[in-house]
Amino acid sequence: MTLDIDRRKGHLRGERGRFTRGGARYSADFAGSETLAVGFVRSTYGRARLRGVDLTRVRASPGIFAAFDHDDVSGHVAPLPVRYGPGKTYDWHLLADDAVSFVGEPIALVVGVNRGAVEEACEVAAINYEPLDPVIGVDLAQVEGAELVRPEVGSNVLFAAARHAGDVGASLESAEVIVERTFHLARQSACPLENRGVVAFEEPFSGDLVICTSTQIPHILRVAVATVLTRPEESVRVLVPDVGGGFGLKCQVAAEECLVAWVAQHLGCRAAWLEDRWENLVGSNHAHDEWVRLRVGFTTDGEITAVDADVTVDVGAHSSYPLSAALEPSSVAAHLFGSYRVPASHLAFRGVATNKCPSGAYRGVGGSVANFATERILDEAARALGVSRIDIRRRNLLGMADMPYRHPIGGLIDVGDPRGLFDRLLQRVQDETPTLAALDATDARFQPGDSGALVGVGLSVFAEHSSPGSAIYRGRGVTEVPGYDAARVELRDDGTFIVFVSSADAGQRHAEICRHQVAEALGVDSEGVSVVEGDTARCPKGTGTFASRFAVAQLSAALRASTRMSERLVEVAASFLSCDVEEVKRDEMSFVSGAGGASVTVKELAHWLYFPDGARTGRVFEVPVVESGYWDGGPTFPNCAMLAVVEVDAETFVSKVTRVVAVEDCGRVLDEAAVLGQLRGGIVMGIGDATLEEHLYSPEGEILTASFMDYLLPTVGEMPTFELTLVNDERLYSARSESGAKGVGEAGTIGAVGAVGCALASAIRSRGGILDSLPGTPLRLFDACSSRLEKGTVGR
Amino acid sequence: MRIALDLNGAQVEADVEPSVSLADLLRTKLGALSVHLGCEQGVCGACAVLVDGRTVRSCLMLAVQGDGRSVTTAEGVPRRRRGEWAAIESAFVELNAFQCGFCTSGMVVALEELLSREAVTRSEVAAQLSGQICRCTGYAPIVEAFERALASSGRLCDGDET
Repeated sequence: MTLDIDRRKGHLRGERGRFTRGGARYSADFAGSETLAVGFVRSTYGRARLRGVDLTRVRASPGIFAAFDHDDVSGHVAPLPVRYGPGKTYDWHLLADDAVSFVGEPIALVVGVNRGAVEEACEVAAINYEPLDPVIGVDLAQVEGAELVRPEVGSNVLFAAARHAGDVGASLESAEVIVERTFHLARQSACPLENRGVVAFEEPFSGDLVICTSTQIPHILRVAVATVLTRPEESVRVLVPDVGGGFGLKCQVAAEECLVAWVAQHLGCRAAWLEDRWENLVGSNHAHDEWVRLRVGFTTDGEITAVDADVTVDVGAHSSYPLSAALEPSSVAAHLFGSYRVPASHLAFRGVATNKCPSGAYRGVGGSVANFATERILDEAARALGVSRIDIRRRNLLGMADMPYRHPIGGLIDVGDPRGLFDRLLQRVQDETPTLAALDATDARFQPGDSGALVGVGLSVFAEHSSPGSAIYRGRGVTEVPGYDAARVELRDDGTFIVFVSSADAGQRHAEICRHQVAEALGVDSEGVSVVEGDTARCPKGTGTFASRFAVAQLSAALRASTRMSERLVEVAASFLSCDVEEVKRDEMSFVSGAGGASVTVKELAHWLYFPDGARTGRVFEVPVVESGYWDGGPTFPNCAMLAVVEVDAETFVSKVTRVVAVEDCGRVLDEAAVLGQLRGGIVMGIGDATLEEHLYSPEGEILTASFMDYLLPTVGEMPTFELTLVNDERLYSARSESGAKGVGEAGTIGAVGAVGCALASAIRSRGGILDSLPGTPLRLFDACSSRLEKGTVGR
Repeated sequence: MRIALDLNGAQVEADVEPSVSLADLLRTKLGALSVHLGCEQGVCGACAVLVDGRTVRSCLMLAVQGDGRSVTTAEGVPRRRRGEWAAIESAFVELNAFQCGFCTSGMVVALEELLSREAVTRSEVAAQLSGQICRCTGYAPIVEAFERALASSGRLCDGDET
């Protein structure tokens, strides 16, 4: 079975046609008939003491081999130390110990002949709960004397930090106008179409514990499994087959991944947990659920004088591993006003525990709400000041001349031209009178379209923080994320090259892009380069596939290794040709001696190295010929300017995003089709975030959105018309990336949340509605128009 | 209970529990791993198969209901299309009509249903796709691949609803 994976990863990965013929292979496809099914008894209470867990009837159920609760596994499976701030950890018990803290939390695991038998057996577990009042919502969590979600931490505020730059008090004092509002993005989850899935077994030849799993972080997962099972890291091998989408969900280690590995080790069997959608929506990581209170000072002509931000994120019942409860609040705080000049800022941001599903990453992370808040408050300021929405942005946008810019919120931006992108965006619509009129805040009422719909136009201009390095994670107290990515290039005896990379693809065509880039760097045909990823036994350690790390950190590492390999080959060629290194010239696939004109191909060199003739003189080169590369740079700051047009039905308040126009600067465009694919997919995902997706909890802690009939995802009907421009301007390539690429994974989503959110807000303005909270579901839009309450203030 | 069905042109028999879904039968006993379980709630369309030529969510149909029927999964579509298949496959690949590929089997099955008709309008393409969720592509390249496949065989017509 491992051979199957290896063959596919090594050689078939580049063959994309197999996906259309049913030839893709995801985790579940490696389960096979000899595999035991693992299932979980999950908490039905948001907060309760566990008085007793009785699995007698479970164990006696048909087709069940074993069942374990916390006490059964505690001698075998150590808790995972979870961080929640610099130097702070608590023990995460992978099966609930004496209390449960969210609906869906695993209490016991059951091993049986198949999934059906296991699910039925889970039903008859006798769990004696002592229900406690759940803490649902950040307000309840922060009142004096609130019940504690994590008593071991001693506070419901799991993570809190603040940052200041300049004199915010004085700058606000001197502002002509201060606009204050609070913005909200609902609780959402990434919902890759493939749920999580884990197949584990002990490989008989080596005794290694093999975990075939749908993950974005193979190396980090390996460390986690080695930690909880107290095994040497080298004896744990994580294999990543085809991954049916990650979008951030799969950059958290799941308790289930570790526990299935333990079942395989403990029972000596092949074991699989194939998460179903109910489990995924209830118990895999959620995201967002956050409030951003902004107080922003402006001069009369709309220049920003200071930003005062207070960010509160509902992080759910646990700090997640490895990114921790710091992830979302830190990311929101870092992305605010990223494309705008900010003279002074004060940021306070915190992650608050509640009895909801623990939070993790979802494409764009905090960038989405930060962008919405930034752009919405600019629109409100424009309205208050009587300037146009275009002018207020032009006045504050950073241009190429400002670079490098030490942004008081976002850090040192090396290169970028948001102002230029914005101008190009406006050029795209310069002949469209209705669109431009809609961007004039002095008259927020638009002519309804023929259909009678309320039409709105929204703008967003933002900078992402892609591919953060180790410094950022250490700053958040996160020690389990290496922060770098790595690659190893090996010359094989047949003259071809194999590249081992630390990340793992989830559908972005990484292997294909990497192969072409490495081939170009080595000056060889791409047919002679293959890429191996998603196998911790063969690939170098690194961080994984998220935050646009591939185009920046991973590819930089591979290109560094390739450059070293090229230099090495010249040395070998010089030795072969008996000339000086300086005399060796490259002639397509051959090396030529400048002196004598003799030449040698890469293939001949490889043969000469690996099959020595015994008569070699001069410098001896050892085999294997291997070069490594490593990249711990970043972050890079891709920029995007986006415009969205929405129509809101005046009767039903159902919205439709009709059009998205975007100008994207992701640095060097490595593969245009891949970049456009990331943008389009990201935009539709962002439309889902801004209009549809919302997890709801009852006050009793019950989750109300446990199916795709309640948690709505965008379909083809939500697809807008796309008008996308890629800048690909050499002056905007980042030196923080070997190729100049800055990353493009999150731009579509972040941009769409801001642009669509502002477009919805502008659409319902004509009905007196104020929209500061997303998604703009029909109910929320209707309520906004009905209440007509000004929730924020504009004043001095 | 013992059932017999035609799977991708081959007669197969299987013993199934009455509670087993067609999707589980296809995946676990009949080796049709193209059938992907995205939600098992009948929403996402990743498990779509053709039953007697019509798309069906195999997660919502019981295996025993497949007795005596003809079932086509994504594995079987290339053979049904014969000479047309190569162009369809390259349309999906060249247009990047998938990224992670998890929805693709269902998409191919949904397309196959359209290809069995004589004429298909663009709005029918949209209607067919509305039951298939893709999280990666933003749909545009999938629509394009469908339309290219239908156009190259002369089935795409410009009219509105037929």
